[in-house]
Amino acid sequence: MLSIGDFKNAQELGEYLSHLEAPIFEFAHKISKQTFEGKNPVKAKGHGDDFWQYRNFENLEAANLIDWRISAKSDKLFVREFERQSPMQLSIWCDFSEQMFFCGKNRATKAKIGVIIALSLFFGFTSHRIIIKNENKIINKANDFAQNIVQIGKNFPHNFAALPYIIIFDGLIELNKLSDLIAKAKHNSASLFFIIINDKSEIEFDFTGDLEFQNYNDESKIHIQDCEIIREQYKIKMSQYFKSLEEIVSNAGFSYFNLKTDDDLSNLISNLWLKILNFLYAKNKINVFSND
Amino acid sequence: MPKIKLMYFQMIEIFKRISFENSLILWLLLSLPIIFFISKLRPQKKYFGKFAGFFILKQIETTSNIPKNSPLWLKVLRTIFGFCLIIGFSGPYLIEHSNQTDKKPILFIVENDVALGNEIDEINNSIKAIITNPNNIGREYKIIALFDPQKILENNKSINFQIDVANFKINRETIIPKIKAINNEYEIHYFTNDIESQSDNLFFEILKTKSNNNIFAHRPQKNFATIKTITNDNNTLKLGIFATKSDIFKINAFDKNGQNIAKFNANSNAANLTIGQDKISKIAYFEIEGQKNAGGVFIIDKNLIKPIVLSPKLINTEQPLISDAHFIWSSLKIFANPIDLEFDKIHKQNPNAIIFGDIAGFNNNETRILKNYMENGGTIIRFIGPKAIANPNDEILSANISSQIHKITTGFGVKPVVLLPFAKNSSFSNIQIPQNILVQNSIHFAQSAKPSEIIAQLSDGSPYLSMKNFGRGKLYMFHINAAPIWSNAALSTFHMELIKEIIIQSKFIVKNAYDLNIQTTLNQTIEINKNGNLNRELERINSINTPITSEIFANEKLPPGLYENDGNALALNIGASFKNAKIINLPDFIKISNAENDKNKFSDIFLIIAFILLFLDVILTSTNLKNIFKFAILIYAFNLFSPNLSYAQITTLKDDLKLAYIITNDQANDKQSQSGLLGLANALEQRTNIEPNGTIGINLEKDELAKHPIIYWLIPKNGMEISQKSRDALNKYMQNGGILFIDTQALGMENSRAQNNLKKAVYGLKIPPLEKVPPDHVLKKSFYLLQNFQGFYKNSSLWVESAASKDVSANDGVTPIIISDGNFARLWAGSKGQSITTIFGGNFDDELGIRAGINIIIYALTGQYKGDQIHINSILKKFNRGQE
Repeated sequence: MLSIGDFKNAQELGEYLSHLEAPIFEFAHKISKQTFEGKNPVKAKGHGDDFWQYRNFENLEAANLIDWRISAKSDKLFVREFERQSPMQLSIWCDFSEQMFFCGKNRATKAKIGVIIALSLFFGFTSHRIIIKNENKIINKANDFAQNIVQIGKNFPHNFAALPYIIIFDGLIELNKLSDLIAKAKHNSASLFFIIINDKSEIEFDFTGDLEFQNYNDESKIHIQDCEIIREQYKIKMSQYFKSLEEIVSNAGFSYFNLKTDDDLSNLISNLWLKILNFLYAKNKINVFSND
Repeated sequence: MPKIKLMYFQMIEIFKRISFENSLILWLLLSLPIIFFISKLRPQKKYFGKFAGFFILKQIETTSNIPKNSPLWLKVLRTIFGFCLIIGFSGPYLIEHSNQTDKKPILFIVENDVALGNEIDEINNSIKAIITNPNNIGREYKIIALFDPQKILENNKSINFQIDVANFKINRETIIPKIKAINNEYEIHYFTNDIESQSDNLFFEILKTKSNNNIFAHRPQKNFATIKTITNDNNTLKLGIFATKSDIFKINAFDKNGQNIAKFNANSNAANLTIGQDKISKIAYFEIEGQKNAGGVFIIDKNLIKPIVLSPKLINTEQPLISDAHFIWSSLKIFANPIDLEFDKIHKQNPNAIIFGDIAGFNNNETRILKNYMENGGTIIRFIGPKAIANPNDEILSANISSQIHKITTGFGVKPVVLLPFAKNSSFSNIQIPQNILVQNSIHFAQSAKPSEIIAQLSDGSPYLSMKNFGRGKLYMFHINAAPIWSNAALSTFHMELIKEIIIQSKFIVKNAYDLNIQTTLNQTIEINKNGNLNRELERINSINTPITSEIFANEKLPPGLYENDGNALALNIGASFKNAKIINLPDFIKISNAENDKNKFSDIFLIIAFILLFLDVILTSTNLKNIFKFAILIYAFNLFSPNLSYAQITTLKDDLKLAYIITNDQANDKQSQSGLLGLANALEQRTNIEPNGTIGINLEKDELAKHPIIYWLIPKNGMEISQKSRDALNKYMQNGGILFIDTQALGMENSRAQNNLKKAVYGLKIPPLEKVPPDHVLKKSFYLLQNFQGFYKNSSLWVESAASKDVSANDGVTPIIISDGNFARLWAGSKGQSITTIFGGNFDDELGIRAGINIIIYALTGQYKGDQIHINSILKKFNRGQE
């Protein structure tokens, strides 16, 4: 994953993403392919009402699957398959504020992970309309999508349509910002799915020695004489913070997915995918996939 | 304004009076500006950058916004801290304000005789401190000392002097002329030895006139103690002690080789030491622990010199090498001072023993002299052989002897005759009997002979060494001759060892030099030096000529120590000079001074301020609670390891335990209980980890019993009844886990009376069923492994709560009552029922009684702990081994 490079800020990322041949697309496509192939819920056979395709009957299949009307027209046996219920429009928003570009100990930035997830989702849903922001603008090209998502991600979404949103953001988001976001979404009857990305160093505070830290929002600094001494305390505070974050999200009735920058994305993403699908289909009261 | 001016001058006056004990430390004040600099410095930090967890770091209290510089208040605080620390350690003190505008010269009077031997260094320091006191700079001073052999102290201009101390007592009068001789008026600092003297009135009158009442007395801080007298009262040595302060001392007794024989306690008046005669006779000198002066040592003159042994030097001219005299003299030369016997000089020569080889008896005059010698405590050793049996009228024998030589059968099929081992409690039992001793002939007692004590015996029943008391003295008789004719024993050191032991035990003490009527010179062989050590390499031999007309005390010409010649000896001990000594009463016009107290020290104040500032600094600058915790631990550790902070007196810490006895209606009985428990307490202190803090008499009606784990009740011989209140108290005590140890001393009286006494005493007490201590009872193994419990009366028994009734005992199976009939108190107290000291001598029965006491106390303190199953195997193993 490191070979695809990393970005220090949103501008760099934007420039990078303006080239379709950038390795990140390939990487995201690969992940998407590995994960979503055959599982694309947008157009797939299933138990819907709409016709999906005819296929040849295979031996040992139940005879009641045979579509006798078509089969009678030829000398082959056909099976009629139906299209699965398809979801609706989906909006993806990824936070590309400054702190998403924090890089812990030789790990990928949260922004990069965010882009990869967003792109994989994009590829997974390519045949589907993606609505970005409120402009109802339909983007079919990956690099357009990427450009747009970075542009939009610099600021928090201002308003929501009554649509499902996938929000990718930093685990260390300020809770009041999150609450505002949720309040706005609720106000507009939008349903949100949160993908929370954390950096391991930020969670576990695995620094040592005498360090000085600065705030993202202002110039204030903190001098820690011995990082090890406060580590446990930091972790406790951090878990308290996460607890309240999760409380805010789940109290609002939204789902979330937690991942860390050092997690293996290719393994995680299928879980994420399932969750997202459940999120999307639960909205339509259709349970599409089970874990098997 | 004038007020402010006045205050200003007062301040200046105070500052002028401040002085420092360790003024060199004040140089550190120069480093104070560095503190300003240091508190600016921050350790090198690394800038990490922006961090999203910032808001969490902010919540954590240990972090703080990084200050660019220490705030001024912190710098000031730290600087004050440094200042207080430096001043505190430099030992500031206010010099006593001196009103004397005329700077009178100072006169130091130092009574540096033996009584100040413990603290002469401190006195030197005090004098130098007074001289160097800024108030006294420029003042002339003069030192008059009781002991000033080098005459260097008068008008000495520097402080490079060292006042020495004498190893003898010096009377105060000796310096009166010197003080009289001085002309000026002085401020007098009087370092007294605290000993009263006859001419004290005159002495102080002169001091008064010479000083115009300006006298400061510096009394000794340490205790001076010396042994005044020692008397031997039937195996109890009674020591008379003089001490300037009342205290408890430890005294050690040493033999002539410096081996410790006994260690015992003494108070500031007296001490008793009860040990066996054999041990007493070995004591060469005593030492009081902690006394670093000549008075701390007391020499017994007898044992440091070689014993004088008289023996006729009748060498058989025909066979000189196999004559008895040859063998006797050869042995004696090794350890004694043998002198040829002349009957008419015995009283002068004062021998420890007289030894005869095989001789044909004595004439009437000789017999009279020898009997007289023995009746006065002398010891005679005889070897008897063919010559002795020829004289039927010999009276100097342990018993009449047979006129026949007893031939001991040896040869094929006959069990070889050997020497039997000595009795276990015999004082000779330490002597090794050599292997392969062959005895061919011996002399038996006559059939009509009165029995005498047999010390050594052959396996066929023949006596080998017998003994008879003659008045205060003793006669020892070897039943063979001294030459190796009848036995090869003479070829070994066996006979020599026996003779040596006999002489050691001989009661006949070296004749006091005061009783010597002849003219002789006793030369000093040992000196007790000023530090209380025995010095055998003398630079100058001092001597005493006899006869001595009046008592001699140690003095400059005759230092304390041992003076001897030809078996006559005189120990000059310091204690003799203090026989009638008393503590001085200083007249009222003398101000009692204590150099240390004179200093108005206030270093503590500075150190406390520094400490508070440090604490404040830590609290204010460290937001980490852990650091404060660490700091607290540091302070605690500092407190633990700094012995000077508490100014605690070093005292022997004793357990809280007091051995308790019940006060009866019989004072003698109570005294016995107390003495007994005191003896037991001593034994416990010596042998176990328990250090009882003395004894306590309990009034059953008033006192709280619960705090005593065991209460000893020696029922008086006339019986004793207790009130209902006392009964209730005792019942409650036993029910709640106490142990009542009743000693009926029944074996010391008629059976019926004893039973009556016991019935009367325990009437109304809830006594559980009793049994004699069963074999597996914890009492038998609580400290020593014991088979029986005997007190003063042998064959006594001990009863405890029966095992069958233990279910109802509230005390976890520990017996609430112990009953004995053996009078343990009397045994513990020593045979005479007096308070004894530490060493229990010789008698193994006594030892068993003490062990029983120790077991009982340990049992009372530990209960059934020893009944545990963890150690049971090894205990049983040991038990079985003992029984096999």
